[in-house]
Amino acid sequence: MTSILGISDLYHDSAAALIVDGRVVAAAQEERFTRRKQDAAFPEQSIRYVLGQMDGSEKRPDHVVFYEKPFLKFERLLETYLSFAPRGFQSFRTAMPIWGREKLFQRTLLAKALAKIDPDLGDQDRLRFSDHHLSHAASAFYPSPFEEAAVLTMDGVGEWTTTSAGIGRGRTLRIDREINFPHSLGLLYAAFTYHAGFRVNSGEYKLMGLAPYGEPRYAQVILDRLIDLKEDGSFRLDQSYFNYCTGLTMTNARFDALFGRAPRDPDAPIETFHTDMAASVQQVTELAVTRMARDLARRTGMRNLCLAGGVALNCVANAKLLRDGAFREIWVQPAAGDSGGALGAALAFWHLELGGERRTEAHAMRDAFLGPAFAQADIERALTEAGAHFDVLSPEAVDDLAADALAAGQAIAWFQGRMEFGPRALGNRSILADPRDPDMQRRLNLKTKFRESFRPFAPAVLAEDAADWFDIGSESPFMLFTAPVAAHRRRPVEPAADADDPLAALQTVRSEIPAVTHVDCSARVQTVTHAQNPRFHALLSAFKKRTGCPVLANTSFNVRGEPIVLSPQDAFRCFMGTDLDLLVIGDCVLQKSLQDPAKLCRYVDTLAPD
Amino acid sequence: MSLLIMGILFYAVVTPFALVLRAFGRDRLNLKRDACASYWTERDAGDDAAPFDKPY
Repeated sequence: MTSILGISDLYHDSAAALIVDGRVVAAAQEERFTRRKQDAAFPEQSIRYVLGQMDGSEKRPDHVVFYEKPFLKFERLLETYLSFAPRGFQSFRTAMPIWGREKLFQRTLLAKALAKIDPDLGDQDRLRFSDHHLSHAASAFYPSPFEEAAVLTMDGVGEWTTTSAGIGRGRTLRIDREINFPHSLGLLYAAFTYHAGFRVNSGEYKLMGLAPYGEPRYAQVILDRLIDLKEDGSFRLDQSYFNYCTGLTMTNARFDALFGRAPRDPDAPIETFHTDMAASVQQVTELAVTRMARDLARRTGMRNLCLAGGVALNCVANAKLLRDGAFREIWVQPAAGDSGGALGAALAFWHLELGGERRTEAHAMRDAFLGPAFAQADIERALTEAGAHFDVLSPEAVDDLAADALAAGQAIAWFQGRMEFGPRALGNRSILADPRDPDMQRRLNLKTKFRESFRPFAPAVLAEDAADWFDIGSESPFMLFTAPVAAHRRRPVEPAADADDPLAALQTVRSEIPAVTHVDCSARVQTVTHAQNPRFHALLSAFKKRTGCPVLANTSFNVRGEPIVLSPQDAFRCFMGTDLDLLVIGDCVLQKSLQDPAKLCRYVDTLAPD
Repeated sequence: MSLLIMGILFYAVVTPFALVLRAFGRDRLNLKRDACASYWTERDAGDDAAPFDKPY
């Protein structure tokens, strides 16, 4: 038995993962434990959790692997200053003191922090270091269901690499070409995210959601001026329009002049200009990704493709790739961002350094439920301590009660089994609702999640019924592909353009399931099989029995600015701060009307920005 | 104080060094557009041996 602990840390999305003999045993992101969104601190609690999942009394991994090479990152920083000085002082004076204080001593600091968890882990000479994009590539290929596949990774930046391509076969994985900083699809998308007034590293998802409202009228300008995109998908960005090399913002005045607008103030309304910018950068991203994939398919002759890196979270681009047909099948690592680097680092070490075997069937990640679970007795104890009033029912009775509530128009919080790894809630830490209700999207956002959102929710659908509701040919267990709502489920729509508010279009009913249908009639589909999640599958089936609809709107169980809930305590607190009427945790059922009013908390006053 | 040190470091050390390097045509970040067919760069097969024991 060989156990390997993988760690990602320090930039955003710190996480830990544990693999044993090549099988992924546990993985979790630190933000869920510390309750600080995208926490970049040393993932102490995640490490304690994953090590706790080891068999036997000795909870000590044989190897510890860090997901990237800190010194190469420092070299990239220095080379960037040498390329731009005397410009770049803003960045220099901010970054250098941090490197001087901590990041350069990463190995020592990591060893010290590990020694606090277990003194025997504190030997810094035993720490191993993967490469950022090798970690991404490993997280994409090794847990995939493919014996062999082409591999493509795209993100903001790792050490130097922003984009890499290669081939995985059995236990081997070779990245053979790359594109380096500052030329990056992730950073291009981040620049437009910033300019649209959203937060870089989390607002990209909003920009993608905004794109269907707009027309890509700036796409040609982007292609002419910002990015030089070659036929084979490789590219360079014209740095004279960006500021991320030398300053503390993503774009500069020249960028503003090119498009005729300054960045949007986060509180200012979203106008047609912003939706058009979103549509434009989305189209250019899709074009670049599609060209890269076609070239990769031609070059390698592979039929399957594996994706990871933050850009692979762009489920609209993923769906375009699938439809383009250069590859027959595509598998995307559900934790495609840097949290998944922890997993990939451990997998890369197992296969490439230790020569460990890869059994495709046994090692494939069929679901993303790798986080903490809570036994029924522990749930009851935690809820009792929290002062909650609850009933304990049989699983079947729980499903019936929850399905009745959903069919009656209630939104419910649904907490079961192991927490998801990756940014999406996939039915174990979810808020669920009836997607047929035309007012559900608005109501759920305002009253439960305390935000305004121009995005519809994602549909979770019984896999066996997916084709009857969506034009989807393959599974999408991780909500990483969009698909059009099936034609016979759509409703005819009168074009009602509102010049003042481009986002009003979302209120138009376009299908039988308006709460999950975007303005272009697409949906971010999650298919659910009995094998992946029997409990969620049973609930969807119970809802279908009552309504004929095998679809539920699925959104993460959290409120604005907070990470997704991890524990029954988090769940109860979140439940008491929102207008949700029903919370299910394991076999415990909590009705809001039966709770002590003194335990209600007013979230609204304390919310962090999204 | 530290701002002063950072300023001296940046403008008196980094900047002249950078200007000299660039005068000799160094372009480590590939900032120039190129008429070539592809911007992909090959990764050495040697990198595959992935020296996991080094933080660089």
